Formats: sequence, structure tokens, C-alpha cells
Amino acid sequence: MRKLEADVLIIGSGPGGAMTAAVLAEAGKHVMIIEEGDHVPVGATEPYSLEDMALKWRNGGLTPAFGPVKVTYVEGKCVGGASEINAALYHPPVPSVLDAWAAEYGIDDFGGAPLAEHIRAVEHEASVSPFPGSPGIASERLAAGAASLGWKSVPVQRFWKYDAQNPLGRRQSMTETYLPRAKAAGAVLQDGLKVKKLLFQGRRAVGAIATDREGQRVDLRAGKVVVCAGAVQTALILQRSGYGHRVGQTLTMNPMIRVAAEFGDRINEPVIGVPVQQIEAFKPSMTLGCSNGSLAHLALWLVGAPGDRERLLAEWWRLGVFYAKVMAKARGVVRNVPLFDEAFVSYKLGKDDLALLGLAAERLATVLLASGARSIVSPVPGAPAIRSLSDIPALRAGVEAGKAQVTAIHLHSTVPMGSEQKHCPADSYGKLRGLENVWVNDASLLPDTPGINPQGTILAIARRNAQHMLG
Amino acid sequence: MAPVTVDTAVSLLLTDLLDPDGRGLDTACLAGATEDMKGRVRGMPRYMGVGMTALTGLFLGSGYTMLPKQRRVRRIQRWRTSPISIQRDFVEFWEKMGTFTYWSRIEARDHHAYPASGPEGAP
Repeated sequence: MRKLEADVLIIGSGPGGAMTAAVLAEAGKHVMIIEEGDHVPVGATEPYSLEDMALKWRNGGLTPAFGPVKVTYVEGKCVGGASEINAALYHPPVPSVLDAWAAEYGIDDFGGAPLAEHIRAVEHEASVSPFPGSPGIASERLAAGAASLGWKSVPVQRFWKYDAQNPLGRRQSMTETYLPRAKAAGAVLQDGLKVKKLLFQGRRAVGAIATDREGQRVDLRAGKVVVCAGAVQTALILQRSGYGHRVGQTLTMNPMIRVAAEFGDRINEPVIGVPVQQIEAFKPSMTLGCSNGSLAHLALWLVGAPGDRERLLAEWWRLGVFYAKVMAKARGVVRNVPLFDEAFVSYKLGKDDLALLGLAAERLATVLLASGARSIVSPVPGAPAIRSLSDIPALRAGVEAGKAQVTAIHLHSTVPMGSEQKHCPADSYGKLRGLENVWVNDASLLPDTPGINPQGTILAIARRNAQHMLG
Repeated sequence: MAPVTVDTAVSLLLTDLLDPDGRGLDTACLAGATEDMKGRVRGMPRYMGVGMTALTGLFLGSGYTMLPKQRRVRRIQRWRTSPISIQRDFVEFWEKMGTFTYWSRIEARDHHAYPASGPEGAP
């Protein structure tokens, strides 16, 4: 049996784990990062392709959450976690949301102002940058459509680095930023190890049990343990370790609908990647924007229009995929399935959430028509395409009735932090109640959904908490 | 008569879902998608993969591969509109993921992904 030892054991190498590792290693701690997935360098696969999903996404793609309205979600499973598979869009944390969390959950020394220095540091260290030059045809169309309706839209910045040699730039995910920093400071990264559970002596964790790719047991020993495996896996590890405290009972997500829309001329420029324009007039409760428009994804979102699919795909450059995402109130539950050691996620979108999603669908269709779309494939299976404003009420009603295909990204809140002990298993800095040396430092800590892409928020909070661990 | 293999049965199911009118699919891409779909079922959470494998066996068994195309398509349609949600979910999974995998193969064949410029004829 293999044994590995360190001062600090960090479970998970996504944004939370990578930031924690960099801060602690640079302060001189002997850090060991354990990652279940493999290392796949940036650029080795086409983003959102089948190969990309097979190598970097948990379960090879979408995983269903169970409930009255089916919602599918995605998780990263690779070195760098979600930062390797998302669109790398950066949304600065919303100060009013942070302030509200501080008040509602009693999070000490937290809010827009206390987090500002960490936000600035993240923006600098992870090369948050605007798209150079024109953001592309789809973005320009969406911006024009939004402007005609009086709605504010912006080209969103990305975790991206541009230079003269490579004008298209390079994604600045964890494998390009905080993980190299951690390793340069002496941290050791072990990929292909799945942590089964933590080991305790009384109220102290002494390490964890993991298995390698061959299923062989590996014993991990450490003086401190930081669990950063993402909202679902962090909850599972703690549940399997026998830690109760309502872990996994308060999952939040950002549900969204996606639609394919047909335009009269070119809208799709794959070389740009995911177009960066987003409508922020309704932020943070609702965001509308562009999504991945590769041929396979276009085909997927045309499933509702099978008769037209081949005709439409033959001129794929006239098609784009767009989304409407909302800040839902619903809370889901993460449970470990005994024997299989896998997640069972249940999530029930409420009436209010569906009403908000219906309104978002209405606004998305409105702005797409204003942007010049000829037709929009309804996200409600079997429903007719939307070709004019008069078709939109039926779309909204279908979404409100829970008939639309809903996907979710951005999972959080399974181990919320705060001084409010009844609802928060972790204290104001991520330390688990009732244990002397175990912290959580990832999306699980966010007490509620921030509504926006949370990577910037997660990184800033992880930096704050890691510094606090150092005292 | 040669025995029906899993590959043949899965390939037939994908053909019926993606091309119900029999207009024709790319043979190599269909074979690739068949392989990909088997991988996707294997890659599911195991507690779901067991159920999906059983359901697929149930659907493809009972003589599906022996039926003429029209009747196979009708059987899919019955499951698609069934009052039993698990039957609807089965069709949805194979149709959506089959579409995605097949067109991923087409995309790779035609180098649609991230081309420097559009194909011939694109503005």
C-alpha cells in the first residue's frame, strides 16, 4: 500500500484547491494536492468536443439531477477542475450580493469591501482581460439587438492572456496559473487519485484514504486537510467520512435554457470560441448571452426541429446557440449512493424559479428577434419555432410549465460558510464545525448562488480563507 | 442468418432516431457514434448505467432488429410519447446523445471545428 505525507492535504485541484495550494505553498507549507482526474494540457483538446468531454468532464458530459423538472449539470474531472472546461468568462463578484450574504449568514469580515483586495489580486494574477478588437459577429448582433430594446450589454472579460505571437490568446485556467505557482513553491500534485474518505482521531483528521487508477489503496497523511473537490464531490467526501451537519442539503445551481437561432447570414465564427457578449440589464437575477456553437452542439439544440435539422446544419454559419440563465431560489440535495460511491443529486425547481426562467426565455427570444434572428428553435420539445413576437407567449408558458430542457452550470452551497450555526457547517473562513483541522475552500462555501459565473468569486474567497489559515 | 451483435443493434437504433425517413447517414460516422454511445453508457454513474443497459436491452430485445424500418420507427415514437417517464427518458437520451456523437464525428471529418474560415460557399 502506497503512503503519501504532507503538512497540508488539499483534495481537488480546481479554482478553490489551486488557489489554496498556491497561497499555502508560497508561505512555506509542504502541500500535497490530490486530484481524481487526469492532467490534460490547455489546447490538447477542442473545447466542448466529445474528446474534451471524455477526458475532462465527470461522467463524460452531462449528469442528470432528479426532480419534477429534469435538470442536467456538468462538473469538471481533471487537473484544474471546472476552470479547464468552462468558457473562462470572468464576472466580478457583485458587492451587494456579498454584503447580503455577510448579513444573512453572519459571515465575519466579509462583503464587497473586505473582499475587494482579493478580487483585484485575482484579476491581476489570472490575467482577466477584455477580448481584443471586435468581439465577433454574434456578439455585435446581440449587442445591437439589446441596444434597440434599451438593454445594457457588455463584452465580458475572460481569464485569458493575449500576446503578439498568439493574438487568439490562451485560456488562463488553473493549470496555467495557480497550479504552476503552487508547484514552483514546492507543492506536489498527484492526479488519478480518488479520495474515498477522511480519517480521524477524535476531532482531528489525520489524513484520507484514496484509490489510484488501478483501484489500489493509497494512504494520505497530513496535519491539515482542505477539501476543495467542488460542490458535489466535497459533500460526498464529507458524507462518506461520517461528517453530518447538513452537508449537501442546500445545493444551489444556475439553471439555464439554451436555444439555437437561425439568421439570414453569417453569425457563427468558431475561431472566436464562445462569443463574449452578455446582456447584463437584468443581472444578477438573469443573464442572457451567447453559447458554444460548434456543429455538434448546434445539432444537439436542433433536436426539437428534426425535420429542419439537415437543412439548417448545411448552412451552420447562419446558426448560433444562445442562453438565458437565472438565479434560482431552489435548493437541491446531494447524497452518496451506497456501494457505488457516486452522487445522487435531486433538485426541484420551484414555481417562482420556473416563472423567472419563463421570463428569461421571453427576453432571450425578444432580443434574438431584435438581433435579426429569422427563427428560434423552441427549448420546449415538439413546440413550434419562434418566428415573431406573437410566438413568444407560448414559449414562455411552456417554460413556466416546466416543459423546457433545462441545463445547469455553476454548482455551489453544499457546505455554506457563516457564523449562523444552524445552516452553516463551515465557519466564516471555511473551517468545519466540530473538527480541529479540516477546512472546505471551494464553491461549496458560497451560501447562495451569486447568479453570475462564480469562478472569480470562488478564487477571491479561497484566497481570503487560505490567508486566514496561515494566521 | 448471422447473429445480431450489440453494435448492429445500437447502430440500427441510432439510424432510426437520426434518420427516420431513411435519407442516409455517413457509414463511418455512424460506426464511430455507435462506439461513442457505448462509451457514454459505460461512463454514466454506475447506478444509472446499470439501468440504462437493462432498458436498452429491453428495447432492442423482443425482435426490434428483425422489424421493418417503419415499425421500428413507430416503436420509438410509442416510447417517445409514452406515459411512462422512463421510456420517454430512454428515447431522449439516445436521440440527444446520438445526435451529439454523430455530428461530432461529422465535425471531425469535415474539420468544422475552429476552421480558419468557413467552408466553401460560406459568406
